[in-house]
Amino acid sequence: MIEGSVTMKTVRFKFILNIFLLVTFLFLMDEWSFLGITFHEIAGLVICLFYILHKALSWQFIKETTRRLFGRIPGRSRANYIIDVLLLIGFTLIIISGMGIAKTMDFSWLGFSKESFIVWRFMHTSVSMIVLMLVGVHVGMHWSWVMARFRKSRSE
Amino acid sequence: MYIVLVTVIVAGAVYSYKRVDFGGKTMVFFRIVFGDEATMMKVPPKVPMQGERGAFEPPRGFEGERKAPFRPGARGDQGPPGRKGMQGKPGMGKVISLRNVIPYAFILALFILVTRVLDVSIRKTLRSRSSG
Repeated sequence: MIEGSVTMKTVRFKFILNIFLLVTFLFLMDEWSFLGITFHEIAGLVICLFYILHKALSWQFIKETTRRLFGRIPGRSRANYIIDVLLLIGFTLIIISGMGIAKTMDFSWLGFSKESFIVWRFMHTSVSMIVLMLVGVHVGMHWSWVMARFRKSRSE
Repeated sequence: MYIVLVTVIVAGAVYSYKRVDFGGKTMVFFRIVFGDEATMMKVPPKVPMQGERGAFEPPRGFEGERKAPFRPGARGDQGPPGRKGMQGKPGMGKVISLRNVIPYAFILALFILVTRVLDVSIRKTLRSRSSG
């Protein structure tokens, strides 16, 4: 019973975290829209920590699927896994390129050169668009879970 | 209700796609990775001679919004000598505006919708195959 309530709390927390991640990601799509560039850069770094937490909460799925990836698993799980890996690569690229073009924070100690600024700038914008697309696919594939959680929250 | 929602999402996404130049910006990544875009961008551009210079053309997707014509009291007005001009720095007093985020929300909604439709269709096909 106690275990069940802990699981329910984890699921509820995961649901709220996911909504928070999605909304923040949308706010970050335009750097000047929501509280300006300072918010964009700080929230961009913070959202990555939450993204790691989001992955940590799905650790069981990641562990199981990685172990059975080349064996017999449903195609859907494999597709989910591939999307997740692409999202991880995408977020990593966004963070690295974001550090290369940061205006309010100094990441020059990481060795970002001024000559490569424009490459990082284009990379940041372009990868953000691809990640937006992948986030859409990711949410679409988990839509049943999202709706089930919404119904559950309303009934609670 | 469902049809209205789908129509709004599709129409909004098509308009947003053009407005934010989604396709053009997405393709830049592939041009950087698979083409020589990165090398091209690293090389400093040749500075034209005085006579060769034309009007400045910003790169595609980076045009920004056209500034309003200068008027007294607007940004940049220093005021007459001895009197105060515009107060504060440019960009100060910025309010929270989500106007530019809406196109991305539409694009996201479209991808969710398309994935959901494909997912449901594939599941139905697989179910009918296994039962039949």
